[in-house]
Amino acid sequence: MLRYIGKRLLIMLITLWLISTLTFILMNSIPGDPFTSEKKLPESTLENLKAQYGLDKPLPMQYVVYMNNLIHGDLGFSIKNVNRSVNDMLADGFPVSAQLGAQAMILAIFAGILMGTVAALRQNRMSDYSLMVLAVIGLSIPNFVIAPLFQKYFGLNWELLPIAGWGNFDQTILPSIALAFTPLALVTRLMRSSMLEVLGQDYIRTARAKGLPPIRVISFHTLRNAIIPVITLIGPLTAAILTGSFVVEKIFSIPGIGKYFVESIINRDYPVIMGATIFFSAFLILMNFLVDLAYGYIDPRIKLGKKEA
Amino acid sequence: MMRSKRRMTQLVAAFTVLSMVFLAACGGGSSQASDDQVLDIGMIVSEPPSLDPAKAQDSQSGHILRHVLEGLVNIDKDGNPKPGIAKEWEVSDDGKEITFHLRDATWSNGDPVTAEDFEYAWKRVLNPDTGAIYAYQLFYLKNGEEYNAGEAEADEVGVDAVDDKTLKVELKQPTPYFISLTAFYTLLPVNKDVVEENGKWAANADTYVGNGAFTLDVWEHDSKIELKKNEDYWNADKVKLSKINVPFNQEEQTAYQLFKSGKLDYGDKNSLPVDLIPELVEKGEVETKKKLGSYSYIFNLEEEPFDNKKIRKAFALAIDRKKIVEDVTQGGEAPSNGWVPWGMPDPANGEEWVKQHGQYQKSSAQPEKAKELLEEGMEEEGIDKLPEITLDYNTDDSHKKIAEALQQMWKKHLDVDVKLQNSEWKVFLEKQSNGDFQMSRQGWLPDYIDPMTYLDMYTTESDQNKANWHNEEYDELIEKAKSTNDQKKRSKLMHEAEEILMEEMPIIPIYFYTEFILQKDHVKNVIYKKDASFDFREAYLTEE
Amino acid sequence: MAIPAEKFERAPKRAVDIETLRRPSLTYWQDVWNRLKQNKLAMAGLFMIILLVAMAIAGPFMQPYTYYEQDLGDGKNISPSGGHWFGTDELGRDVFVRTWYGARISLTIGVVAALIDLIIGVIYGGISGYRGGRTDEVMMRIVDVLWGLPYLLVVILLLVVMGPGVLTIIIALTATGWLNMARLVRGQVLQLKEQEYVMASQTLGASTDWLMSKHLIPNTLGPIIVMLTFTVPNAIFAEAFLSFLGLGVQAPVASWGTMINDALVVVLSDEWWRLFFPAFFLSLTLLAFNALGDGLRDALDPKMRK
Repeated sequence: MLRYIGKRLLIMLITLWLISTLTFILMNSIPGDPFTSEKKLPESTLENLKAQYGLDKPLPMQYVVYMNNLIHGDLGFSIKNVNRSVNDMLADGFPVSAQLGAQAMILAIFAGILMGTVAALRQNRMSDYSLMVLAVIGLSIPNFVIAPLFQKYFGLNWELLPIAGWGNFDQTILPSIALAFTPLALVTRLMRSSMLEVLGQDYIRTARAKGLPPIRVISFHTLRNAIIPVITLIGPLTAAILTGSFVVEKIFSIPGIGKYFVESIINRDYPVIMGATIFFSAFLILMNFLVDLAYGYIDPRIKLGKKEA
Repeated sequence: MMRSKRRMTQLVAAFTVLSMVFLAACGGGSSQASDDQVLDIGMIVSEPPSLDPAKAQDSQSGHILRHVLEGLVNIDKDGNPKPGIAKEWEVSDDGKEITFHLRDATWSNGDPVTAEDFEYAWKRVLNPDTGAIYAYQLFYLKNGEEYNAGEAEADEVGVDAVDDKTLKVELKQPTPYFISLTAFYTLLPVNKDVVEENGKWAANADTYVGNGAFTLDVWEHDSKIELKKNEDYWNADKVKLSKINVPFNQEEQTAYQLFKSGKLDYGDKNSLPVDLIPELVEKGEVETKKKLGSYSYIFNLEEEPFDNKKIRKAFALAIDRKKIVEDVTQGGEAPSNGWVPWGMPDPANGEEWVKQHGQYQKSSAQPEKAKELLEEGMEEEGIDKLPEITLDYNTDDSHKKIAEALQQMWKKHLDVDVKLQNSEWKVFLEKQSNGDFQMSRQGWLPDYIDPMTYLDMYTTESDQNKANWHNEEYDELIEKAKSTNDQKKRSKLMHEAEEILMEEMPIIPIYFYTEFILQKDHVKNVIYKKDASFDFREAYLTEE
Repeated sequence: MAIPAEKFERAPKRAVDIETLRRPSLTYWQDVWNRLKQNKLAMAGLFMIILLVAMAIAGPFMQPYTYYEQDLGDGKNISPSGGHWFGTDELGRDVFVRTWYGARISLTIGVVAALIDLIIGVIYGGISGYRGGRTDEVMMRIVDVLWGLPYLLVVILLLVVMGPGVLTIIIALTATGWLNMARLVRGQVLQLKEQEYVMASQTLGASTDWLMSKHLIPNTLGPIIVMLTFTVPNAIFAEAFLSFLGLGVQAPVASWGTMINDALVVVLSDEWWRLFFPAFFLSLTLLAFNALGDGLRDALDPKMRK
């Protein structure tokens, strides 16, 4: 097992290197640079600016410099936000995004598993149908619509919760719920479907026939076997949600890192593009690794890393 | 069976209700400072990229900078310079030398503000190693451009601290508007000792040293800025606000809701969702002010069919500008009658420039004449069918609406199908500067308060001439206007130049901008100025 | 306890014609259809989809307006009435016509994207999970790489290289869409292939294709269908995002995604119809797909066979 984990860690590093290299190539191939502006700058000024950020050097050299700094844990300085290091930007914003994301994920996972289980047990009855309608609404109304509606009703009209901002717990409620909407719908629907799958299996019927109380059947037998698809999706979903949502953070004026993923690209802020991408990718790769480990734990028959079948 | 079903349903319901109650219960009361002279403003969209004048690059940072730093002059309500750190100044007869006399003022760390701070600050902007984006704002100085390009030494630059309180400026050419330009954020002073000691002095509130009416008290990155009244400011008696809170709200819609709920007292267009503007302007909830700015479309003269003047004019005449401002933008904008926008003073007499010349173009469409010109133009080119025409704009709801309306007007009046193409901002700019377009959107705000900022951009030499339009007569007029200090003569030459521009029509000016102001009734005396800046220095709040 | 290898004898491939062990496959789909027909909700979903498609085709002709025709005078922001059933937008264009014209684009995009995701995702995930070991490792790392790349950057580059067009939109929509599907299928296959009946079939000499198409994939259908019903709205909103970059449909053509995007203002103003109609029909579409999907899952489930 340890050997497997060691091997996987090495592969993770290679994957990460591949992602950062590809991103470096991608960002240098799209039109525009950090200094493209509506009022074209004089040549001399542009040259000065490029020299200052090392962008005057040939690309391969810039790449080597970047990679060298990266190995030493230095993500460089933002070009747009002068004098702010990318390390600081991520370190300041990540706890915010992570708190928000964690609240949303907890809500989505627990409520989703519960609702999905209920829907499966009550298949084709009223509660199943209403949960489906609820999930569909969650899917078809994107959070850029939900969020302003929340602000308008809970914040402005009923004055129950703050409209925007960050700092107190009450300011996290609306964004967490807005962020949880889609994952909640996804978890509910998936859980329902795989529960149905498992409920039809012989061993469940046996367990039921044996007279085991339904709760026991559900928690000990069914849930464990039905949860694999949910786990599969929760991995990358967690990585995505914990590293911040551009839309929700923007609407609720939350100082998280979600905006860096979009704005760094809009601004062609190269160091931030790289930093944000590497950060997210590392998270994602790690989550997918944990998901694989979880498979083996949930169903010991699943063996990864062994010889091909 | 029936029972367990109900129980399940109840469980779900209970869970939902419980979680809501739990979440709501955890919400504490919000804290509102009780000090009555605290103003909350909603104009800053996001983290200012830099509060170092040499590195600042956007109007957002400018709003903050103007309150924490003070330059040689301030701009008054009418756009004229009034004493700031300089209590007076003299201009030489040829207009090429200005001597500023500084008053006694101090930095927030107690140091006196000296002429040397200004000399240092300006040379720092021009220094190639600084990498200042707006270095060109100081190219008016003798050897300024050369120093920035590494072709002259710092000592040769035309700015010199004669003594602690006297700053002598030598200009390349007579530049009557240079005095007001010293209020622009790139030209604000920095404390030499502080900057030399710590290059990152401007990155955080605790190392920031200013000389303005307010001090940078709190800067929570990506979240908010708080300004506190500077008791040592030379004109502190006039400053009535004790604090200005500046939360960053990226979403206009959010800022607007905060304003409605009373969390913000004052806002501009950044606190207003574009689509809501017409409704609010009509209801009078939003005040509109003339803003110096010209919205236009540029033709690419190197691409067919707009290399033909008659075809260009046909497209321009088919536009109903009145409809655009009254039914599409609906924010009190004015149909442009020329390229230089409203609000711009004519240097000859200080009156509105746009009222000193005839209607270069009418507000409503002239379909017959347009159709006629199009046919003539096509005949000149020897074509009986126009090539496919694409209109480029950068992604934005209001640009999209205008483009859609134009498309319909051309269809209706000229029977021409125009394709629309939007692009992400920098892709759009690259296309524009590479000449990879036929018609492309352009919004233009002035660099300084003088018609020249709109006119010298269409000379052959100019980097900003994206239409690829060349006209010798025009170039000559601009050159002449630039070398004289006689305001009447300058004005005449510039009017002549604009007439040529509008006759040749490398651009179609569409409308002049407005600024939108949202303010609570208890906010008084905030001044919106011609340089698009807001002055909170003398603002105050009354009892609600 | 080990049994020497030579004691085993490889079962000849297809020694028994497996076909004869199952019911004839012709009746399989008939069977499915019969079961589906009995599911009222699923049939309602199917009917709704047919209705929506019919409206997408006929809707734009049911009113004397076009999707682009403007009325900048008094014709702006009219609330739903006899003249304009769904009202008009901020440029005086008929929302009814625009909604159904938009339905053409959004429904096509949703379905095409879902199908492509389905095909790539199932094949890729199936192979990865079934082969396991090093193949799985490599294939899943490729998924990680594609997932890690900034989508916005990829799309901008795609746009610059290929220019706007239908093919570019489809590539942009499916570039990352199938990743979830692939991982989902792989996870299921990893689990299923260790189950007794799969081993039994293997021992009987079933080929990989056979195992995949008859055992592994059918048993993964539940999550696959759920995932598919999610791909549809995702693709519809992704199209709006692509429009933002200049890649989606060009104005004045609207899709449901761009209509919902543009109508956000109604959250604060009174012109509810601009947001309501596209959002309502989008919800209805999803509801129909979900109902049909659920019914299909039940109908396809071999265990539900009576």
